[in-house]
Amino acid sequence: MAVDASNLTLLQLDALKEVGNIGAGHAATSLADLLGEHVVITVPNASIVATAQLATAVSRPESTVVGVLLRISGQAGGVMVYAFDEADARRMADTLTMQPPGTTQEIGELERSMVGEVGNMLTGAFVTALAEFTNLRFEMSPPMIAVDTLATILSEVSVTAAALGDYALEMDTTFVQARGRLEGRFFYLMDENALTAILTSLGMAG
Amino acid sequence: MSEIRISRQELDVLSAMGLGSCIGLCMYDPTARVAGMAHVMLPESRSGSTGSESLPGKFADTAVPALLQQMERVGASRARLRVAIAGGAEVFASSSVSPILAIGRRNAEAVRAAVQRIGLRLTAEDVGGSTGRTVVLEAATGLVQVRMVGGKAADLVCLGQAR
Repeated sequence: MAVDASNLTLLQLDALKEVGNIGAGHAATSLADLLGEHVVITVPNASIVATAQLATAVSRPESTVVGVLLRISGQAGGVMVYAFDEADARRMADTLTMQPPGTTQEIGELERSMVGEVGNMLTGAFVTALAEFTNLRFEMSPPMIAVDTLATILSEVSVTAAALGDYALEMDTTFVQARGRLEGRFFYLMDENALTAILTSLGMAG
Repeated sequence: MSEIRISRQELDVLSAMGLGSCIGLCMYDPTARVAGMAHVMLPESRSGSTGSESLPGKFADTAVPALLQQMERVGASRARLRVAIAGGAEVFASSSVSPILAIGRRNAEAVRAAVQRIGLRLTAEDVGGSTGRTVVLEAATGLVQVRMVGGKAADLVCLGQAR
């Protein structure tokens, strides 16, 4: 029986957030390896949003972001988007190239590529956590990077991606390192059956 | 998104945000001061998508006549209407995320064709490129402004002014 995404219980939402937390744990380990410094990733918020409202319901829809997009296929498919505010993306580039904060002034090809790799890794950590928890199969496409407003990126995905359902999981993520904090906003625009498949396998289809 | 909105309220501003391949269709009757906007997502209502009855604004071929009809209902006259469009970019070149080819260009062509079919021509357009846009239409004046990512809003055209 299909889950009513508009009416998820707190328990169901918590289950999804827990998957996010586990994924964040995996991601923090990988990111710490990459950066050579301790990173803590927290998931302060998770919610389910109607795809039709996504582009306008997010906070700061008109801010410029570097978005990393991946097509997820398998038993619970969709499109995942990891979006970093442009300023945070520049700071991330500084960290990755071991330069003082404020060095990177604009998002060029190199910066896009670096943020793309980080986004790819973080998304991979979430998908791994999801696969471990649910025993569902997932495949990830190579990442695509877009620098635009969050509203444009999300609306573009919801219009042009095939087979998307009506709901998306949105999670705010915060990265805490010695040199400061970054925020990334993660979206999982789910295919029509994905949410039901996930909650069913978590034993929470209610 | 994809809804049609009209206004006769002087202080109203209609806007469409996050126009990637989508088209923000603006129509204005300078005499009756009726403003209308549709956020068009796809070229044709036949393409297998659902919702053309409930959301005519979603498809170019249904959005144009639907917007016209709603504006006429509150006193706009077709002969006086002036039209501007913005959007139609290719934000994601064809990729695994976005496999639909050249959707931005196809949306722009479909909207132009639909506008022609109701006997009108575009007064102004700002389409193409690879960056998203936001378009804003002021109900009081018919001023159309377009903003691109990282940029300031720029006036495209004032649909309220005489040619």
